[in-house]
Amino acid sequence: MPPALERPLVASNSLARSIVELGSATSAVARAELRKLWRDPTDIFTRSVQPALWLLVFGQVFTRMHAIPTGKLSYLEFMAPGILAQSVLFSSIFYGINVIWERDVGLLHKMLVSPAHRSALVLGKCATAGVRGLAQGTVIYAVALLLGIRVRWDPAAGLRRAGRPRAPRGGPPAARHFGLAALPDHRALGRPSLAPRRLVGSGSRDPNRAAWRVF
Amino acid sequence: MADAIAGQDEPVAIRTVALTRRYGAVTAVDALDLTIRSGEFFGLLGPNGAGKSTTIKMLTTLLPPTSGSATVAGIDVVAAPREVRRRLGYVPQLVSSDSGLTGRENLLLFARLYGLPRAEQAPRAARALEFMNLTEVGDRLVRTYSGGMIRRLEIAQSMLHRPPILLLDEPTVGLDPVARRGVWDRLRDLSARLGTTVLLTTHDMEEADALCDRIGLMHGGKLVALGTPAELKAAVGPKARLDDVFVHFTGGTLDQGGSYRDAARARETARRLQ
Repeated sequence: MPPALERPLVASNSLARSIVELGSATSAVARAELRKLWRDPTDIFTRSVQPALWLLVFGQVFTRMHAIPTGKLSYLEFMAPGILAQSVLFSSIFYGINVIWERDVGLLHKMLVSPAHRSALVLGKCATAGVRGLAQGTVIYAVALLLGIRVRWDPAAGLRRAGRPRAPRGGPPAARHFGLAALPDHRALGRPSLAPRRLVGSGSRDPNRAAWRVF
Repeated sequence: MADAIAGQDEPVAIRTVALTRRYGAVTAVDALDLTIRSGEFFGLLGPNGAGKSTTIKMLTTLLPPTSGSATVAGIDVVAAPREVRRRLGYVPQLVSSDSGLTGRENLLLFARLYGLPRAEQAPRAARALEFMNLTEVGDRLVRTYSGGMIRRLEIAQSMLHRPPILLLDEPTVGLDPVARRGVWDRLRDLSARLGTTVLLTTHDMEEADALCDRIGLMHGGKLVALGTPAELKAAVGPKARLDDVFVHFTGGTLDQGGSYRDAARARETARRLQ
């Protein structure tokens, strides 16, 4: 082997060098993970089956039943943001669980014994989880569009909603919690009276309350 | 960088002084004093639960010692763990290649993690594959590899940055005799060509006899015997084999100690290497 390859790595302590090393180690981990995803993207689709079922089966059935008050929105439109958030969250969780599953422990040990920053492992995996989440979200969006759910293409609406000091009373719970106002079109929402305090008690003539008492 | 053993010329690769690790009331490693010379092929033997893996974990900075100290290539494992990690190659007992990547991609991942210069990454990975007789399968997914190929790839992964010291935790567990010999050949060649200091743990006496210049026998967290295979055998009896040395010094059968977890782990590794 050429002598140049025999020399050990030179240590360096400067901050700039340290940041560059963190960046390159992070990208190394992310590149390896994304390559695996690119090579075998079936996971994205199998994980989309359950949310698609929610939309296609439960969404359709509950929309027809009108059992749950959703104002001027169809039940499908009402639940779509929640399904979106749930599937993105779950895909990230299951991906993250891989790290602690026994099958990756040897690899993890080996990485921990490399001089790479330990945070690079976490950041690289996070970046990959982000890409997977986006891919998953895209699939859900596609299914939602196919089902005729009205999408409000206004990202700023989500920010405006998230920036409000108090969530508006009328918004669907999922949209209020996750700030996903881009889907569906909440402007069409009436006043479904879903605020919990108004669900307490009985004897009202409000049809929405009557519906809730069913459950 | 490396200091010298008193009265000897060889520099020291690894030195532990009263190295101790306790898990609650259990003392896994008990005041271990060990000196491994540079360029030496050293085998750490012992029954399950003797403290071999714990010792390796402390030397690789994965586990802090409860007390005592250890230096690797002259650097203290507690004071400068990152500097120690730069100078170490480590092959864990569990499978440590990514089965969803090809052999070459696995090597490139570690070339990047070790911060090798960009221009050197691909040629070095190619040479490592060649050295390990893996060139033909280099672009196949690791999940299609045999156990011996996986182990050789793992050794290549840990040697990409040319560390002066290589630590292996039971490198041939779960391999058939032919694959095992393949791994031995590569390890011998590596140590001869690059002068790498190798520390391996094993409970395979044949392996220790075939590979190691010196052997340290651990039992109950302590070093109970130390010497060349020939010295140890001579100490027990004229016709003693290394198996007899093992039984003599650990005071029992080969099959004591260890937990359910150890056993499950070794079997899992063996299963995945098949």
